[in-house]
Amino acid sequence: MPKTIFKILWDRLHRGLPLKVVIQNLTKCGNHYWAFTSIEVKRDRDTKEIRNFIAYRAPINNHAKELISTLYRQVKEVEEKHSLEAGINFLHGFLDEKRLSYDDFMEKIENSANERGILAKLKNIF
Amino acid sequence: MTQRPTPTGKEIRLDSKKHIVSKTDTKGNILYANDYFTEVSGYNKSELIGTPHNILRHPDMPKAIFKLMWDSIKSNQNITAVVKNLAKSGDHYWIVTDFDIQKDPNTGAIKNYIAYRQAASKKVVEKIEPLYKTLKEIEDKHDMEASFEYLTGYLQEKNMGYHQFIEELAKPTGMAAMFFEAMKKLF
Ligand SMILES: Cc1cc2nc3c(=O)[nH]c(=O)nc-3n(C[C@H](O)[C@H](O)[C@H](O)COP(=O)(O)O)c2cc1C
Repeated sequence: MPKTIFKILWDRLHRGLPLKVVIQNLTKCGNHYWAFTSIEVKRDRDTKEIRNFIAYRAPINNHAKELISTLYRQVKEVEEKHSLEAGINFLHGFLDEKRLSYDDFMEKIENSANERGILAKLKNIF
Repeated sequence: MTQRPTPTGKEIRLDSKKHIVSKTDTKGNILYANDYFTEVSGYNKSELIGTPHNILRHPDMPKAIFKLMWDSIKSNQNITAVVKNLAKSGDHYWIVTDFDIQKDPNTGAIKNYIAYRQAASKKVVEKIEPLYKTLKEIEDKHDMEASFEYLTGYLQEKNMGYHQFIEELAKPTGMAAMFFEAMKKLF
């Protein structure tokens, strides 16, 4: 997992904004699995302060997995050879190229998870 | 940066359906390059990131064209330009490019440029190559001002700006728009 993704994640959550993110998790026995993760922000009903975050995880299909893992590999390489800032810039460039915001992109990943035909095409462009 | 590649004179044939995309800061330092960019240029992403875009500058390219380009995008005007680029191998490729200009939503100041490029057709190259050669010769003998002057005269004779000249020559253009249209269809 690139640090860039977690940086974006925490920046958003600390500002109280929910987000969707694809995360590769490690199981106890060392295997990994990919999850489409929706994170919500729960606030105290009275003080309105952030109390906790709740993550809902769903599996993603192979096409989305391939697309995201290629992207993450590139971001991670930029991050390691350059800096976290360069990684963030690279990710934004990737999105700008497609004229998508991060949220739009995640929505496309989420929506297309059920539509295999579209995803096959998605794979071609990225 | 390491030594500039020596031109081989060999042309790289581009896939006319693919786009070469990069994003830079306001000085032209590369922040993002897509896969086709790395494939064609022969530089990997780590080599490109943080590097000035003139890493691709071909010695045959007249300075006047880059001045025209920078004057335009700095004043928030898109421009369609034809550029001969130098790959890491020393081979070259001709592209038609246009730009997206990103501004800070709060201050309105320009933040980033995104260039969308596609293969320049044979017809375009045939027309542009002799013009650039002349411009370059004038630059070498005199200076950029003189070549800029020549270019202005050349275009005036045709009653066109450079942007319009290239659009006429290389149509259909609007690479960014076309690219975006293609993307929309795919989703
Ligand atoms: C978004 C963007 C894309 C550019 N693409 C190229 C390119 O493909 N090839 C190139 O030679 N210069 C490109 N330039 C211009 C270079 O920054 C540089 O001005 C040019 O190579 C001339 O080099 P010099 O400024 O060192 O004389 C680009 C600039 C920007 C802002």
